[in-house]
Amino acid sequence: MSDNSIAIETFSLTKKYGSLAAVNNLNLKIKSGEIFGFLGPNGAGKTTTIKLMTGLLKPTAGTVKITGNDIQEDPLGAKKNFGLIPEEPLIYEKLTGIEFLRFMGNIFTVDRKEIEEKIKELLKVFDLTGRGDELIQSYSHGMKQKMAIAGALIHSPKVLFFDEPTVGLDPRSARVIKDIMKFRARSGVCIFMSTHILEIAERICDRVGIINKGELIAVGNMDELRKVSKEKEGNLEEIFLQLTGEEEDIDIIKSLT
Amino acid sequence: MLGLLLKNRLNILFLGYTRDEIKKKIGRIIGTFLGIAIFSLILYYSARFFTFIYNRLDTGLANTIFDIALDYIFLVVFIFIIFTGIATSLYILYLSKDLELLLSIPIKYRTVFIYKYIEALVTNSYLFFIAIMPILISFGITSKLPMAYYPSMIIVFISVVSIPTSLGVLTGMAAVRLINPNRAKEILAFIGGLFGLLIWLSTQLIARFGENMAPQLKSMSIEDIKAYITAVFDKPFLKFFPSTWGSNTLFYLHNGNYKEFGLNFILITAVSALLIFLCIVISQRIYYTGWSNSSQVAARTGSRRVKIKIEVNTDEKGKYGYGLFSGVNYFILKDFKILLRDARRLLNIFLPMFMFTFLFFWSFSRSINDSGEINFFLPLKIILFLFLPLAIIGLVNSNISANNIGSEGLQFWILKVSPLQPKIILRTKIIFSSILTIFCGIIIMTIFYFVFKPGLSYLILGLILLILFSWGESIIGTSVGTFFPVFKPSQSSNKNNISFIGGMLNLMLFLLYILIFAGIAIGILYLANYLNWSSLISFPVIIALELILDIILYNTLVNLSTYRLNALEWKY
Repeated sequence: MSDNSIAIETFSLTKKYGSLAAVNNLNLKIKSGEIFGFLGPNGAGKTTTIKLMTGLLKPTAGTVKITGNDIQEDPLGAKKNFGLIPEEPLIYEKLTGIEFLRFMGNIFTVDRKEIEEKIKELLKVFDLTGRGDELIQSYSHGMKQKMAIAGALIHSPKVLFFDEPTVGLDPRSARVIKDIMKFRARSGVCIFMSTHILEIAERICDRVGIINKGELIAVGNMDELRKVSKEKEGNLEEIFLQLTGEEEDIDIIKSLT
Repeated sequence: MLGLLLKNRLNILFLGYTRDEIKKKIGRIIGTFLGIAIFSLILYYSARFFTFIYNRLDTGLANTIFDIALDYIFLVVFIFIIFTGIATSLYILYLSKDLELLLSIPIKYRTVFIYKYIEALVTNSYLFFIAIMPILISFGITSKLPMAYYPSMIIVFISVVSIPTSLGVLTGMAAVRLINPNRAKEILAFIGGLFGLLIWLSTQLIARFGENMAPQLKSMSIEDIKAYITAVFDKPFLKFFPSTWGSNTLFYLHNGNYKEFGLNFILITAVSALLIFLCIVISQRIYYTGWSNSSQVAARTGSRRVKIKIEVNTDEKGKYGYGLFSGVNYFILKDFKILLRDARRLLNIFLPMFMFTFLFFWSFSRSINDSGEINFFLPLKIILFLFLPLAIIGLVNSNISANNIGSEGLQFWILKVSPLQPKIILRTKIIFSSILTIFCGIIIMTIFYFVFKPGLSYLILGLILLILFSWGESIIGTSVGTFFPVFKPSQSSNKNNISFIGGMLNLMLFLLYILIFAGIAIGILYLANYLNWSSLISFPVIIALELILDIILYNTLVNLSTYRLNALEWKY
């Protein structure tokens, strides 16, 4: 594997808040064209990892390279190459959908003609044609989410970060997102996705990383994860519960019911 | 159940002092002490003022002053709550985050409404409580009023603030049935603001009219002064304002006129109670359904969809995002669009500007002929022409530029992940606030030009100084705003995206900057007068020095804030 094929690389990435390590000594290598699922219980450090990778947070120690560019040393070089879809669609509500996409295209210096073509294409894909001239504040949560995704796709990034990509989306849109991920990955885009929905991770991810209390406790494809866990025949849910020690909780739940 | 909700609210308030983040706790404690200090200072100085009036003035004249002062104090409260209260009420009743929980648990909708109404009332009036209550208390103490005065004072205060709050709530409830509450909040804030401005302008106009009708103060007799004050301030229209019923209640109690006291007391409390009752009755029919409908996305009509489709399919090159407004300049266009669509923010920026302009206009145009005669090294009117507009637009600019970064709000992550140099982001923000204030400044300067008539050369100098001043103030405001941004205000109705400390620092730096800026210009004009320089020499010297000042500011402050912007973490 040549260095050029590595899209995301972290070196002992650590983020501490006082004595609490939100992310501790994370070492990952994710290739171009790979769909990488990042799993973990609530508060495990998934969103913090994405924020560290995208430069929204400064690491306490360690580095992140996106397509070979260190996010701290060469932030602009790194940022040109990725798109981020945060968990909450926090986008400019006082712009119309089309204005927002134009804004995103412009700040990523996409060619003007290409911006217009992409806007039409993305609105169509996300079933937003006809709503593009309305203020985003009038959109539903799902529509805002779709608009945030469209904004991240407009500059055709080499790396896509999805933080809980299907939350708040209708089944059709969720399916569109999954298809987009697969399609983009086939064309060489690296997808880094944090999710709670294990079914999606199992179905579409090439590899999965499991983080718990800031520590990466397992990484690999399904076969590799099965080897690490005791669940030799189990599905991802069983492996996840076993690795994160949440199987014990099932007994408590049963006793409650 | 209402008691439980209120108790819970107080508990949340208390926990803010004990369990919140240390930074927020300190902020709250400082804020509370500041509030107590302000309350005590107002109490002390107003007591001294009232004692002074009693000791030095004729009783009849003192009473006239008290009567008018009370009228105007309550009028200000009334107008201000009409101005801000509608939007606040709408936010609390329809957009607060706890509504989903409150309306889903087994509590009567009426209880939730009353709870929210009380929250709106407190939010609308707590600042006035700190500012007005000490005045009313010191009035009671210095006038040695009976104990009945104090409960009456509290009832009257609550009644006066509840009337505009109820009007706001009623208007809001009606509006939300037609439009999305977010939009309604902005539109109603705008209408409320215009209404408030209209009342304020009317009082100014009528005051001037009264002044012309007032007797000349040649003899300075008590009767003449009383007649003069009454003619200027005591307007017949005031008696139609509920605020005046409130002030009359307290004034007649002070005078021992119990019949008038009773009448006014009944009038103000009855109107207040009636409006609250109306709010509760109407809320039972429309509050929950209004909230429920507003939580859904407004359905669009078919014709609107067709129209939009046509617009989207029309390839109008150059409509957006091209030429001057392409690339990074799209930032500026984005900020203008967002500002123009945010009625509340527009009001926050432009209303003070209009008020200050008219205030100065009225204050100085009255005696412009006299002040024109006053000569230092230059006629006073030229100094006023050059620096009054700068003071006004400086205030406007410090408001816009200090919010330049913070007003990105929860969307700031977009800038953080964009491949743009932080310095370029700051530059575009500085350009945005400069353009806006230069535009406003030109309007103000044009008005002042026709008032002061300073001559063309001073107009040109004034305009160049305006550009330089706007630029410099934008640099200061944007830099301070970058160091102290508030991306997520505790109340989403709050449009101030700078921390309290940042706001204070911004104000101090603004005052320092205007002092230095004006000092340079006045110093050179003075020197030119002393050395007999012509305008061709003195004006370029002023411009060059101001330009150097701005370049120094740009190179120091922007570099510092670039570092800060780069280091800002996104934790939301």
